[in-house]
Amino acid sequence: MENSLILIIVLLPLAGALLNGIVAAANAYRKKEIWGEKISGILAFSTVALSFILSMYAVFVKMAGAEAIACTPYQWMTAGGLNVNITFMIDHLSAVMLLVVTGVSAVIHFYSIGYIHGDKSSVRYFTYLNLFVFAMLLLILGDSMPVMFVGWEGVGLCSYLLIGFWYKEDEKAAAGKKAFIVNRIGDFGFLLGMFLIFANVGSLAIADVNEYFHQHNSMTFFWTNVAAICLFIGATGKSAQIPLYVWLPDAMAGPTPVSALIHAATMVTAGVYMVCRFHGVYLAAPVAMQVVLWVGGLTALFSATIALYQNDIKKVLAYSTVSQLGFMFMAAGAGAFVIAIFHLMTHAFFKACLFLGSGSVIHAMGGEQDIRYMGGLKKFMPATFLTFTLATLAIAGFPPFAGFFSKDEILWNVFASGHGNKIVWLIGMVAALCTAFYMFRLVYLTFFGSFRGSRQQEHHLHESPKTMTVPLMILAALSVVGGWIGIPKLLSFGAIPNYFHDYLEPTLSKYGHVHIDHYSHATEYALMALSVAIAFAGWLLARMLFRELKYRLPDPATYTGISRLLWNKYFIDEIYMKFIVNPIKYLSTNIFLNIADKKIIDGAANGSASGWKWVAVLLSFFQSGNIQAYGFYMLFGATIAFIFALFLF
Amino acid sequence: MNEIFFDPNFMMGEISLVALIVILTIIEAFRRPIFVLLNTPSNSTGLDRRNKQASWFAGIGLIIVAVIFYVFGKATAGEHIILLNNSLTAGGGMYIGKLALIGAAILAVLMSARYTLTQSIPAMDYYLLLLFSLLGAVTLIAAENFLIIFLALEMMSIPIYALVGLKKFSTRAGESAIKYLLLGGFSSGFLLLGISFLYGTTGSLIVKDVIQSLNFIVFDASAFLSAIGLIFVFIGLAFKVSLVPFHAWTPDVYEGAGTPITAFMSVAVKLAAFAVILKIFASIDTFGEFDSVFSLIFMFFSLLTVIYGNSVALVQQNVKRMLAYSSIAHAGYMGLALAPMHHKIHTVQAVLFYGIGYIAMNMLAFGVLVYLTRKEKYCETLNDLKGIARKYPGAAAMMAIAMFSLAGLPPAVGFVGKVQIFIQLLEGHMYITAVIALLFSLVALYFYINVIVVMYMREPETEITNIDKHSVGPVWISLSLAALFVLVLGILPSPLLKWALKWAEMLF
Amino acid sequence: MTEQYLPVLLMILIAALTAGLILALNALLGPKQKHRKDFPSKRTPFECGSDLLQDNNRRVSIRFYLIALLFVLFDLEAILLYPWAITGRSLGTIGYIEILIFLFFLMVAFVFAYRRKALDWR
Repeated sequence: MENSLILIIVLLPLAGALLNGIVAAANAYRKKEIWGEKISGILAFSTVALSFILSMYAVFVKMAGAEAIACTPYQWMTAGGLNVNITFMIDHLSAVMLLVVTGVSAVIHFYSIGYIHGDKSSVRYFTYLNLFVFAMLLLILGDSMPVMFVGWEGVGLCSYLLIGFWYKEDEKAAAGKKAFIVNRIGDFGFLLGMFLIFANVGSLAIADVNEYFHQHNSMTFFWTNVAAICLFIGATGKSAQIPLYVWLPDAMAGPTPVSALIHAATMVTAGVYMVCRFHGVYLAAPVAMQVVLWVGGLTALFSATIALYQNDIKKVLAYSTVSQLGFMFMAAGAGAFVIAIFHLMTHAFFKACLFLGSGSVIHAMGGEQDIRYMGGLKKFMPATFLTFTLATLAIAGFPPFAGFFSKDEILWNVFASGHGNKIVWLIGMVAALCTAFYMFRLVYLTFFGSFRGSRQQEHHLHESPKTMTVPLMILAALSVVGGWIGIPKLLSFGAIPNYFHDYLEPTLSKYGHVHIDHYSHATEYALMALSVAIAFAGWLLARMLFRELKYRLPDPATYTGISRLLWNKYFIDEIYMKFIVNPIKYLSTNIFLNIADKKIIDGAANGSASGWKWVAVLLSFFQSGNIQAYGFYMLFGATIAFIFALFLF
Repeated sequence: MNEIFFDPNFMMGEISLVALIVILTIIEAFRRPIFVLLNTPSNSTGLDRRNKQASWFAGIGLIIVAVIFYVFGKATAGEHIILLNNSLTAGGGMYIGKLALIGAAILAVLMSARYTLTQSIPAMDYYLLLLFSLLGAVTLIAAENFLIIFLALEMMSIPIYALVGLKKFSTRAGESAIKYLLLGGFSSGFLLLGISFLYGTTGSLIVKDVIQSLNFIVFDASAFLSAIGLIFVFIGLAFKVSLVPFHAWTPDVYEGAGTPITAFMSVAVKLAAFAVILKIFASIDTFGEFDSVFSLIFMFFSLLTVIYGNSVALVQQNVKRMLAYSSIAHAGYMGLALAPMHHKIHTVQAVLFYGIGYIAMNMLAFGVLVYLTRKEKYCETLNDLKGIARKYPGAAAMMAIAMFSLAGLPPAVGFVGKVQIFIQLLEGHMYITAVIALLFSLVALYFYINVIVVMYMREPETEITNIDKHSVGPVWISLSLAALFVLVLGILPSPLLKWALKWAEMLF
Repeated sequence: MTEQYLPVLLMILIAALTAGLILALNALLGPKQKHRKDFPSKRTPFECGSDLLQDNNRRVSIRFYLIALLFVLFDLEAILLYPWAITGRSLGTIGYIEILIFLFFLMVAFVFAYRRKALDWR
């Protein structure tokens, strides 16, 4: 088989998952003390690391100069006119994703060895984590929509398993369920889009689909947009955008490395990746592009404002992730797919670093996540503080950190692109301001000032072990230098080539270019300066308010007005509960339970003794009539069939 | 395709199955009468020993039969002939279907080994009835003649009526058996009436001839009568596959029957009856009227089935009952593939694949329930499953695989099957139907996942008692085999798809 | 299309009308009983003028059903021998062997029933 290297890259994590699964099963069977924790951690890490090394080899050596390499292990199925080949393809787009995913995964697997140490089901943890990497690789490398969808569902499943990893706590199990169900709603959109596309294109290979929409789109304008929006609904589910973002903040119930890997760096960016993958479709659907742009912009602002008032360190980061994903969608919606992927990459670095840093803090605080009870951690954990601050500088968009380049380019593209919009640009600027503010608020409250926790906690404070700090340093270094491969020409005066742009542009402009309105260089410089100024403004504001905290932060229960609204996350969860979840529950209990199927009473017969008498009366009532009723149903069906025959003849 | 009166090569599998039945009957006949054992309640070891031996006989015998089916089926796969004066077809890809049915029977026997021991049911009677039913099912999918179809259908159903009621002193079993028998008789009446209508209008009982003459029929009163006849035949078969509103027996009977029997009849009867539905309805190819009538009928009833089955399953507390409604819903999905009526070989392929995949996943789900049986208590309700993963992680994992497959999530076979069905709908341009069916598979996800949630994330209400130790091994074999099929067919479905296509070719 | 079945429909209608008419006239014109329970004999089945000896909804021993069932089965299967007996010569050796196999199956079933004491009347 040609390029079987790709197959090995994909299968390595699966092999790790299988081996770990066997160990986990053996542990569950023995029911004694945990066995093989160290081995399983090393196994999990080494498979992913090997996968990363092989990916580097594949991307930089095997693929050098080529547009793409592919490998087809087997034909999965044929259904009607549909042929689904299992093909794994690395082109420039998936190459970037591949390196980011395997690289960050390897780092986080390493971190996990230290973090999960001593947990009773650490082997199970590594099994899920490896399985997740496998599913993610399927999603990224799959050459056709079904393979992509398998990965799409697979990462959803692993995310569900890992959020509910400590399933004995009801709240965490519920968070897992919520994530799964909300994701399934999105998946439904994805499936609908897939069907719509297949019904018209007749093929599900990604290249065919893009080519169809680019070259000979015979779908009407309306249906083209519907298909693209359906796909985007899938993306809103996976990438936590309005209206389906609600699961991501709750997903923080999972172990922190999981939040870093799945809910910040990789899985949640799958939606962005998917939109970029199908840029041929989106370029043919301008309305859908507008939807992507607006949803991205609104999500960015909306969740950034929520993050202003959160006190849970992980919740702040979660809303920040939602907001940053909104930025990526803004870029995609403006047609700047390269920039979307660029921000995806830089975000993976600094957000993973932030999450791992928060994990380190929580570790030191003995499980405490509320920043009101932290403070002054700077002197206890210098490595964590340093890396956390570097990543914060990156996310806030200070030059020359990674986030600056990507975020600035996003805002510029939204401002200048033909698909862009000045209002969305403004929204993006405000969101960026909020970002800088809440991130520095987090840093000041956590690391500066004096310690506000209990004596016991203060005594316990310590720097995390090497297995945890080394990954932090790697990721912090990447959040500093990661952006340098994509320095805009304007800034370096053409001296340094924009490697990232040059690498991705051919792949992502294959199916049409996006018109960029002409503005003078001066405008561009001015906007750049403005975004830097905004980052500084956010920083200064936070410094002013939180540098030396002289007062106790008020209790959230006393919040009023806007702060109350923000603290309660705009009451979105409550609204969903009231207007969507409860009506459905009501419908199913009152209509399906009581009317559609009285036979449920049969089922309750073995139930509670108190209900028995009541049930027995009803049962005897039904018993005599039952079989006649069944026969009557059949006759009824027959009558309907005859009526059909009569009318159609 | 050529006609031969008789060639033993093509019939070797069936002959060996008959031989097995005869041998087992003779063995049982010349042993100590069973009621002597039954009437000595203080000492049940005699019965247990007999049951164990019977399970060995039946299991090994069936495996030999399966091997014979495989060897001769593969040898004759190149040819497609019609035997015994247009009574049966043989050869071609059909043996994959027969093997699937025998596979279902083998899995059922493996589970029954445990079930008959825990419930003290005379095992040999049980296996003989099971084998008779299997013989009927195997004949049914090969039948080419309406009379043989009727005969085989009854040969398949009557032993199951008896099997359902085999637990003599259980009122629940008796109730389900009599319900099934009466309604089954009712539906057979429909089927026979339909056959006589068709005979009256076309003058033939051979399926191909009937369809042929219907395809060139002049549209007059006799065409209308033929349509009525076909509708009657459809109703008779729809009863067997439990399409709404001919489904009403399903939940009661599934709940009342012994779990391995439920498993067997939910898969084998469904596949065999669907093979006949396909044989009759997939190759009707008239211009207009018949098509539109049957397109509408299949669309309406299948959609109703999908909606009803999935909705009602949502509120079931009893897992067996829930699986009964789920089996109704799955029949709906299979029926939906026929709705476009665009006479393509791929429709047949899709349904056959779905049917075979459904065997593996449903046997797996029921097998877990058999595994968790205790002597004094069935494991049937969601309450019984609460927190079971803690104590029996293996069984819980198997159940989870089954639920994922039934829900249609990759990488299980249920996903591939659903994709096949939906592709048929899309190619037939029935978008709204597809969307509704898809929505309800979303609904279905809830109650399937709920089982997993209950198993893994709920605390048991009372302490989970130990399961019986009787014959756990065979159940584990059957569970692992079924799980293997579910996963392998989900990840590597193309070989089975090819065989299903080869089988489908025989119908055209 | 269905015109040729019109006579049948008419026939059904006339039959229904006639029967309905007679019943309706009976109910309208016949003498009416105000108190049915005064005439208990009116409610018993008519049996050649003499009184009923016993209720005919008695339970019957299950053994009758078993014997009856076996009788019907074997009877029907034995009937299959008649067509063979008539054409036996023309069917030749194969026909003979087939009927032997058939009889063998019948025999197995009979032995099974016998050993299970299905024919025992205890």
